[in-house]
Amino acid sequence: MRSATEIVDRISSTLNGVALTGAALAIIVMVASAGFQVIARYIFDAPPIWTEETARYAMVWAGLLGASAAFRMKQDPTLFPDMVKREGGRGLALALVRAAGVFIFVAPILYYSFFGRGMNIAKGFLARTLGREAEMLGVPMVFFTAAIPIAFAFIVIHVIADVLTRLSRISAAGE
Amino acid sequence: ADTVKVALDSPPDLEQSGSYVWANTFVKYLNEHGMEAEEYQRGALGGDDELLDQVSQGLVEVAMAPVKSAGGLDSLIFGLYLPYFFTDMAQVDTALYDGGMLAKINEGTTPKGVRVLAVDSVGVGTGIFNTKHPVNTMADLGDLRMRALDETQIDLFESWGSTGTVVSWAEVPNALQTGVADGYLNPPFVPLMFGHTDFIKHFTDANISQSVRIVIASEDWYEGLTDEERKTVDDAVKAADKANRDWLSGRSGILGKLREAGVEVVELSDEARDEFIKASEAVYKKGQLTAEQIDAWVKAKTK
Amino acid sequence: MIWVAPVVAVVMLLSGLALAYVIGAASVLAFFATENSRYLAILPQQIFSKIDVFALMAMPLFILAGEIMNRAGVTRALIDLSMALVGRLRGGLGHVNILTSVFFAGISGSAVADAAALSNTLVPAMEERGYTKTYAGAITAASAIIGPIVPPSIILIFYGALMETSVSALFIAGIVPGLVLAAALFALNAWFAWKQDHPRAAKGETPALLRTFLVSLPAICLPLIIVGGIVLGWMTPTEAAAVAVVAALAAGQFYTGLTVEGIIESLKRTATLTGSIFMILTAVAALGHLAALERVPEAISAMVADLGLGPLEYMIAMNAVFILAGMVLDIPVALALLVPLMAPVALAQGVDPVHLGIVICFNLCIGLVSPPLGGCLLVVSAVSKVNYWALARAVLPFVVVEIGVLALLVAVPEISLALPRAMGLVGGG
Ligand code: NA
Ligand code: NA
Repeated sequence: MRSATEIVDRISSTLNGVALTGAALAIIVMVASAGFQVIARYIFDAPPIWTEETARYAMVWAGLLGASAAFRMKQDPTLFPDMVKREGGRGLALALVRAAGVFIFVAPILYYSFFGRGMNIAKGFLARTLGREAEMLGVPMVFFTAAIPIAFAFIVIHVIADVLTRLSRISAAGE
Repeated sequence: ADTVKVALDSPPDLEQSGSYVWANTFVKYLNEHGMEAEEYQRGALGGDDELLDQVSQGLVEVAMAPVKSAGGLDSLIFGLYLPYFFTDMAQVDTALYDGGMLAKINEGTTPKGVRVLAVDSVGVGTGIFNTKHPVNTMADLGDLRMRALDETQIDLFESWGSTGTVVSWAEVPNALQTGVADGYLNPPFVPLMFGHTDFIKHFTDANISQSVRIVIASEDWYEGLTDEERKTVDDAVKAADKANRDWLSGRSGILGKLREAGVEVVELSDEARDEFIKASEAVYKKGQLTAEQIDAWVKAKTK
Repeated sequence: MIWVAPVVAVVMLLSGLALAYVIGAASVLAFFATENSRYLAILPQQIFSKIDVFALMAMPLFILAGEIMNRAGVTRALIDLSMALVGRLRGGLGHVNILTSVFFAGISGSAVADAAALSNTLVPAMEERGYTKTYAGAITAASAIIGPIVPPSIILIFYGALMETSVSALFIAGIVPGLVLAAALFALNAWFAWKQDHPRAAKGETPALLRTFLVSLPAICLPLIIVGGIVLGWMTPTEAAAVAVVAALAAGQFYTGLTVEGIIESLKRTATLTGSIFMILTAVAALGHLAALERVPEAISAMVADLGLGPLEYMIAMNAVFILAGMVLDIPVALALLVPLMAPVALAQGVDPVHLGIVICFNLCIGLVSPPLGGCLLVVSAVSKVNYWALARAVLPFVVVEIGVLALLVAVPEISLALPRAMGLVGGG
């Protein structure tokens, strides 16, 4: 039990490191392409057309990866932040309520990313965007839309890790 | 059956909006002929991408949409955008119906769940607006930097000896005001509708392309109709098309409205137009269409 | 069955679940309760469309510029400059506090960041000179909200993205209302200073004007570059934000306060702050779609028409709703929830979208300094260790004055519109 918990928590914290690094890199890409746009406009008098789209999709990645990190690091605005700090049995119950809320929200997003109506994979969000091209960059949209299921999958793992960690803390206190 | 949801792409204004004339006629016809239909305000069910997505999945039955909504699924429809290709809306209709292009377009889009029901006009042909000086010939464009939608338009401007810069629509007033861009291509009603006539001072009635949008329908929904219902829908499309073209013929007064708003209007001479046409043909190959696709459009419009 | 959604929402709120997830989960349940569950099939696309927005791009970049600035040590330089300019007046440090907020507003887009930076340094300094800690905290919180009204502004970028309104025009329109707010706060501080006999700095105690001016030059040039670049049409707001990041890095070198760790930390903070806002947009994408399917916006317009509200009456009613929302909700949540529902009616009544943006931004900022959930109050109370409720009481006169300025702004749209109109960024009157 304890070792399983440790593994899940290790995965969760590793994924969080990956998310933060990825988001930071994406923000650097944003600064670079928007900055390059200014330089290109005034020095070469020819604003390239790919910079805006590059910056926009970098923002999508940065924001979604950042959203998963904000979740793990408990930085999202909350009306009753003290409830998150509760420990023990009551803390676990509250954590389970929160986990249920997250699952209710995330389940349809993950499901419909992969499946269309009637469990049709070809009509799922990812498959649909595989067939659409980004206007300027000419690559399939799926390179950007994939950020949605990835970020929400990270969040699901963070939720599971949180609940398991609380459980193991309670059982450790009981021993 | 479910109520037919028709998503609008413009304010519900029967005088100014050709797209609304189409949608309103369509919805009225269905309701009068035993099929329940309802209009949804622009943006209510989402932007263009979300509407395309909902139509392709059968969640929204009919949506007024930009040409690129179908163009992203199959590029053939981009023939409607070829500069200096169609002389008027009647020629577009010839290509679509007599020349069979609408059926060909649907061969490409219906496997992806989207049927192009119709092509609707939103105003008289696109012309050249700018803030600086009258444009009588192609040479007059040399010192203007034009706002472009995409790379294809940048190519077009370059083939005219001008330059283009991509600016998003929300920043267009700022860009025109500050000289990031000096002008844009649009139908005459656009600066009036968006209040740009304070700084747009010149219009060239170049009739570059027909100002069109499209009507898309869910193929799942269309296929699932009974024969009788499908006939009602097809007749509603015919009625809406007619109302839309009638509306267009009453729109010639728009140039007078531009003049009233303080915009100087230039008509192109035949020689000047020929020069534009020649320069524009050079970019046909660079656009989204293959040579065969362009060929098909050429044949269809002369049917 | 629809009652399930709000009940579950309340339970999840009480469990400490973040607002975005509460809204998301309640929306998903409401889709089922209203027999609209099949529409959930396009939820991923709805989410993508809500965040893949050109106008949002300036937001993470301005957040980053502000984070770097805060770590680079520009705060000290700006306080010194304010000291040299207004420290010798009666109630000098109160004026210094407000003026520093005005300077800060030009580089930072967030009120909470301003409040944190200034309560660290100015509250202890004011206490030392004989001000009460609560008064020092109150004036810090109250003046921090100048930050998001004067450009750059995260709130205005967010509004611009929601309403497809020019961010450039919004930025220019915020300048005068921000300065009017500052003037009103100066007046109130002067009144308190006179009534409670606040101290002034002694001669020779304030730094030399010329020297502090030179030292703070990089910091005060930054807003000029940002605002000037946008006004003169050299840059789009996104490009200006990228330039601001580069300038902040350069200023960091100048003030020697910046480390590699600091930059990495800034990037991470930017990622999580942007992420929190994106999660709100994501959740509201679901709720907004449901509201459209159930025709809620049409119902609101019909209700307004039934009540016979004119433009001014509707603006007042709308402001009342936003003030209440601002008291309990985080600003991005309030914006994302309410703007798409309430703004279209105001626009239909002829209110200018740019003016409306400034009014809503100003309004929601007041929520940052009003209990029960005032973001700036929370930060100032946490940093300066003033009791939260004592602070809330002390800030009340400032809130009253701020509501007064808001009322003036509602009554006289030209306060926000004159400047962008002169630049041709909004239509004729
Ligand atoms: Na600001
Ligand atoms: Na302050």
